[in-house]
Amino acid sequence: MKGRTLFWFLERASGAALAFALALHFMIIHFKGPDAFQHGNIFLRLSSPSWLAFYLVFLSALIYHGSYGLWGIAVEYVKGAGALKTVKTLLLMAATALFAAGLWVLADSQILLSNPPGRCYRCHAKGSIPSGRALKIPFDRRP
Amino acid sequence: MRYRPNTGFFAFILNRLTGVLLALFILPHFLIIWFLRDPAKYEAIRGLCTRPAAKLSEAGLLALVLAHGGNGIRVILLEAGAPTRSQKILFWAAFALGLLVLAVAARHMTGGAP
Repeated sequence: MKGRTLFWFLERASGAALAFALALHFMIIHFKGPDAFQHGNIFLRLSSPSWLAFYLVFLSALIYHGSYGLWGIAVEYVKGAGALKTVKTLLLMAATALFAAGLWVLADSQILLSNPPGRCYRCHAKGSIPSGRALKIPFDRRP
Repeated sequence: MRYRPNTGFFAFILNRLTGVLLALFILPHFLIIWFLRDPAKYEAIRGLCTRPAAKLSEAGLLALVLAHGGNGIRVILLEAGAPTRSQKILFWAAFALGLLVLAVAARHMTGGAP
């Protein structure tokens, strides 16, 4: 598969992955109300390797689909090789920064979750995190 | 490039517009995700999500996702070999299905359904 064909294929594949991921995301977060995205509940979900893998795929598909889609628009409307190169650089920088930020949050969650019970959540130390009642799992059950 | 106003053109413009709006939405969304590193700040932001304006914007976000996603699946189907003559039907089917999902989900999200 040649370069452009591969990029085009990845755009379609990431779009299909996003259709599935966003449906799941809306069902578990937005349709369930603010309790569903409590800090503690999100971190509990991230303690599962399956959910962690899901969010990694979600993040990658989102960043690729968005940046390649914007690039497609830029190719049509931006005139001049210099301007197009600038747009390309900006898009690559934005995509890299957003991907890195997403990875950082995911990595940070794993570091926090690997700490001993009772001190495993940054929020516990500050006493600001709500209990895990929405998922009916006490936080101190974490290994 | 010349544009001709028909169903395909409308679908194309809708896909572009919703795509750009969704890309713009990603930036504040990532900012909120970034605050996950600081639980106190994150919980303060989450508290704002119960406001009616936040609920309305959530429904707006769903409308964008449904419009872009429905149109995207239609494009994938056409490129995968669905007959070109079915593109109008596919567009209106995606539109109707999107509206139905939006109506049910928006009612649920704003607390109108059990």
